[in-house]
Amino acid sequence: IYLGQLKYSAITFGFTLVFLLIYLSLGEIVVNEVNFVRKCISTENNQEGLWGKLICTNFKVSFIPQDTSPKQKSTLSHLLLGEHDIPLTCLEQVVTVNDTKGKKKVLGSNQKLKFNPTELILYCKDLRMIRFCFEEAGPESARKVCLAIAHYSHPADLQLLFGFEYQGRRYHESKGNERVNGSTPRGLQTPIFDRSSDWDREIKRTNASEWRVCSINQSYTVSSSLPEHIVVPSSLTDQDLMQYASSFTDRRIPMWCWSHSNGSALVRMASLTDPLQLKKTEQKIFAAITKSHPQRNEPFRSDLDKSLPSILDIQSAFVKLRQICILDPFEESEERWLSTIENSRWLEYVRAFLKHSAEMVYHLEGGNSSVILQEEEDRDLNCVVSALMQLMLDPRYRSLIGFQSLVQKEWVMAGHRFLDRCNHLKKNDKEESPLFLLFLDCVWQIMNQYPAAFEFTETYLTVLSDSMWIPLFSTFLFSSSKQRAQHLMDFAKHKAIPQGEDQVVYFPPVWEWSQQFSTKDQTLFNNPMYVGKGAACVQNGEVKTFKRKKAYSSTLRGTPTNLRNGVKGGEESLTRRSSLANELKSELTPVKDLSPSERFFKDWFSRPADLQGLLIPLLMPSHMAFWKLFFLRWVPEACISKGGPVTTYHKLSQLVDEIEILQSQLRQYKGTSPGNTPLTSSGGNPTDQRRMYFQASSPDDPSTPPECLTSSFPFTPTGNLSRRTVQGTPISKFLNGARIWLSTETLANDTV
Amino acid sequence: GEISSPTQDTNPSDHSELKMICFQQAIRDSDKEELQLLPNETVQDMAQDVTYFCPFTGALRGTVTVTNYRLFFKSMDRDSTFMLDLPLGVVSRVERIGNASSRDVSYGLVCKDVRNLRFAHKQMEDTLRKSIFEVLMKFAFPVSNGLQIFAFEYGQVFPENGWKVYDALSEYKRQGIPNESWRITKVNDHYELCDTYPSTLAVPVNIPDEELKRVAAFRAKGRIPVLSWIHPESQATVTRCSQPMVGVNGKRSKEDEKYLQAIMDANAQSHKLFIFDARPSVNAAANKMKGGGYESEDAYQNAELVFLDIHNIHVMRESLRKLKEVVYPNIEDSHWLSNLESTHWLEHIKLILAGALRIADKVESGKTSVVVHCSDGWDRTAQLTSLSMLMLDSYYRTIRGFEVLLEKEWLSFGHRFQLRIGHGDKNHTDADRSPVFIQFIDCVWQLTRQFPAAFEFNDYFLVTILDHLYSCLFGTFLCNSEQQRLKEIPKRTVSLWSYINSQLEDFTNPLYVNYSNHVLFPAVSLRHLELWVGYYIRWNPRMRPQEPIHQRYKELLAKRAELQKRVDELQREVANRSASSASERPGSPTRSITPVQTFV
Repeated sequence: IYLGQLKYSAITFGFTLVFLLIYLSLGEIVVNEVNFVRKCISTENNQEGLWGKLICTNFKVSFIPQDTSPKQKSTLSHLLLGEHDIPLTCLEQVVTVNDTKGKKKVLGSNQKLKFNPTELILYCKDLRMIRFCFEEAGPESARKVCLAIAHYSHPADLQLLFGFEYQGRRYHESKGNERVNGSTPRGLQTPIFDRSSDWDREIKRTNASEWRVCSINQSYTVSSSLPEHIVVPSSLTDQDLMQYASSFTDRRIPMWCWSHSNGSALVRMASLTDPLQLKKTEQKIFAAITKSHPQRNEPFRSDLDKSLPSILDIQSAFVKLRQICILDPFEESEERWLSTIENSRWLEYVRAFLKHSAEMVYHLEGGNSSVILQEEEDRDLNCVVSALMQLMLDPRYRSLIGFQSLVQKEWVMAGHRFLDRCNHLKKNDKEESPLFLLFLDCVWQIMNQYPAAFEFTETYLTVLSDSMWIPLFSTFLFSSSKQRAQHLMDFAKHKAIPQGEDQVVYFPPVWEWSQQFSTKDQTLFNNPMYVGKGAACVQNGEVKTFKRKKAYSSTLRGTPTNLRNGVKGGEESLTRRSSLANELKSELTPVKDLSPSERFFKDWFSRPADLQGLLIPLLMPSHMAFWKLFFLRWVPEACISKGGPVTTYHKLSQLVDEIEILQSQLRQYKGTSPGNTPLTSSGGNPTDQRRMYFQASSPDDPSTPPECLTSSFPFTPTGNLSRRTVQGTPISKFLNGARIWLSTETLANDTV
Repeated sequence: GEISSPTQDTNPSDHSELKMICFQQAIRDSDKEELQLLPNETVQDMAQDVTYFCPFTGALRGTVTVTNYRLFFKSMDRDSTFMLDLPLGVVSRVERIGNASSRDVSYGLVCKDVRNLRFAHKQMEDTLRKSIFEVLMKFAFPVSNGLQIFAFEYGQVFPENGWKVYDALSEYKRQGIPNESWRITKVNDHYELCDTYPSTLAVPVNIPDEELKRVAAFRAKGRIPVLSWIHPESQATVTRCSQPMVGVNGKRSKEDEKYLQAIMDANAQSHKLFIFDARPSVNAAANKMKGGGYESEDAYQNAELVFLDIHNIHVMRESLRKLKEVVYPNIEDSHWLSNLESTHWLEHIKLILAGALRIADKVESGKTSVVVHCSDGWDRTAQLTSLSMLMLDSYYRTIRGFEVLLEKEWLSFGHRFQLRIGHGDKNHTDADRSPVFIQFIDCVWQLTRQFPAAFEFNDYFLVTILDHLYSCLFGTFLCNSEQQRLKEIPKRTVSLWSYINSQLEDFTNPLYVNYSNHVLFPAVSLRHLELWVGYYIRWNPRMRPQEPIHQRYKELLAKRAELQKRVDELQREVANRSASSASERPGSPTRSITPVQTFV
């Protein structure tokens, strides 16, 4: 449902009158605009570009091409943002350039610009990089648009973010519609954890009988960063908690996250500030947690500040990685790609977080003790580790709704400072840190190793991270529940929203994906391989196992070679890298005994993984992969056309779609018995609700791969990345990357 | 510590058709985990109380058996059985370690497949008795010891005959050769024109055999430009040859110039010819000192010469040696990527793929014919022509097509497998050894990663080819040329393709789609190239193989088949019912019919 408006404007291009169409969302107004702008497109031809109009609104930077038939359309189309639109919150840096004068200026809010820009470069937080040229545009209007963009992308106050305008209008305009339909938005299926019942359900689900919901933080009277309801050991009274609270940073009472079926709990905790009370309070808390354990096992505590990189480290790693992936000329960064990736330390950090989480999982699962994650503020590193642990431990969180509830519980409600970490107001660069992205990368690593374990896809993770930069959802705009509650209360008052209305209705979270994407596009989130409770294709009908046929020749014996020989396993290396002679002659030290956790992992890996059970990622450095879809999707030179992992996704989706069609046919034969799958039970034509983006092809379809299948799918690199130095590298240019590493000796030998 | 148990993986329980000969000492053990001998495989020696120093598990004590084909180590130490089954062809070097006075004798085995093994046993009391590793050395290097390579003894019979996979004439026929521009010549029938070329060659129609001989005189080792592949529509061709014998004085050959002109003229679409010299230009120039060189653009009027900067066999050998240091036995906890980078292995892979991509791009997009050569035209040239053909022609991406491609571009055109691999030869320092073919297979693997649905075969197929490149079980990769192979090999050995084609299912990629006119243009960038972990790091038990996607796809296929069957049954039932009762409207499945079955 489009709730915005379309605005026409007519301009003359040469002698032809052209109508340009801009789509404005509710409450969106045009601030400034300039005609005859060229958007640079990375192609082989330098001169190529799209001509059109550049517009700055209070929501986005919009470009409306004069030629309405773009060559390559992005597959994923956003309901509120066009192909060439960038939300103002997504802008990282606004740079104006005057080529003739050789001047360049990074624009902030309320700044002056002493030259007429010939070019505008927009660096985006979703890693796009977009260039506009003004050679044919009016110099004064170009200058004004640049200043407007810079100004509006630096809002002075949170309330000025466009979501506050948009959601108010949307609420009133759509109220009528929704009343008629009487349906609740789909996003509401995700528990928000703003009420005690959500926590209660989680306690029951995990059988955490020795834990209770505590509401002493109602109206945020105790802590300004905790949610109103938290879960605490049953043995502690509200009074006890009140007393202990003052010893913790921001009076954050330790908070239960999850319980294992063995009774061990996962608890997160801020550091203790009161040195006098430190020992005493700590003992009391630990005793209570011990008491809540069925075997009264002592909890295991891990201080994350001591064992993991800091938020500054993570930010600097990300900045370096962005530099190599996006900003540096393609060929230049190609030269020492691997070592530069390594030097950024991003993958090292991803591995560190996964590794630490896996170790904590061992203590819970293998060591049968509760785990306390401790961090100074309990609002950054703890979010990553507690969420990762739960993803490994509990298959529920690997479903789509489960994952969203996990983010809601461990990030949003736990008080991760999204506003500061995203730096939406561009006020304090030092607070900025891509912690949530780091978490998504960690999730991707597990997904990459267990592709059938998650209900959602890497496209979902990418889209989720992009949504951080669209200021329309309550999820990523605030730094705490309290802040959210206060702002939304003011908002409701100003926008005349009736008291008692649910904030999820008037200011929805990102989980209501229908705000952004059509039902069809949302099917890109569905993983056809998913083996889980919600997977329609596994639950009915036995899954066949494949026995290999009798094999000839005994050398390979029909088993995968990589399993074939000499594989028994173990731990430490006997010898380190050394010359062959040394290696063969070196004294052998006995392989040291395995530690309990090493033994635990060894045992776990020796069994086939149960995708509906505990899941531990492999953590050798060579297991850490570079998340290509996320980091390289805008880079045209790195795009594989008619290839990439999406070709597998395409095939799998088609097959699953065929299976689902057959299943629905069977159901029709069976009559009208109520199906367990919501898929067809809601009536109507089942083909309208197909879960798969790619649908079964008819036998007459020509057997050619769809053009849209590229390694960037469902995104399009064209036009979204154009570096100044190499706009469009001809294929031949980056193929000749030979460097000289040969010696004269090898040269002379080249006559064999 | 991530481990996977080896026992079930090496369990040969379902090989009942294999004859079992067991040593008496071994018979008392469970029958499932014993050495199962191949036809004509005989035990040569056996020793107990041998220690194998496993780099992952630690020292294991067990029994070593050496046959004329393999080394078999079995340990019942600790709680589980451990086995090591190593074809002797894989061994590159055996070395006795430690001094004579020590109580233990230790042996190190360096293997061609990226691993080293180390064993030790007590000093022999009977000084006359040889160590089992002395026996092993004899059979690991049969060529150096006047023995026969095991492939000549292996007596397995397969339902398929791999020697019939490739027939030069039918392959040219498949490409539409002969046609009005290209003919098949028999000039090399007895390998007189060129002894490293196949007997069947395709050349431009208007160059008579006599002239071919004069061209041969100007090309290194007589390897004249001949057709590898022709585009079915544009008629643009890929031709291959060796370097021209230009020398320091810049010698020219009218016949050679005319010949290249004829190749260009055979393609009416373009008035240009691209010569891709695989070497770095400095190396090509250095070759002039030894009589070789490259085509000058003065002499070859419409030709454009491009150097592809691919390094020679020595650089590649060194690169793989470094790679082995980085990945075996363990990967260091830090600096993994920079250590990998320092081997340059992926950079070499990139340059080879980039060269092949340029060739494919010229032929497909530019409709221009290309000539490819390096120095002799049997290493880098084979890599480039076969990879570009793989990009251009989907036939070569099928299992049989790939076998044909190897038989044609590598085996028949004289890639010197015997020299590059050193089958049965103890001279491990031989400068002729080089992993050129391994690199090619690695490049193919990179393509399968970028285009997961474009190849009929899976990873296991590629690993199997590489394993039998060394194993000396099959005759396929023996000798250096078609001429050498011709007499004995097909008669006396089994082809690797006999084995593979007899159990295709194991090697098939379930995701394969045979798209028509599907030319692959890979992204040749280090951003997309990966180390082939499933091959180079497979010995590390912490590197678990990952092919769940293929497995999952097969499960879903079975699921679909089962559902389809049920739907068909029901449809038939409905049809029968409606036929019998005239009151019911026929053919409408949505109408309420008595539920037949419950499916959930």
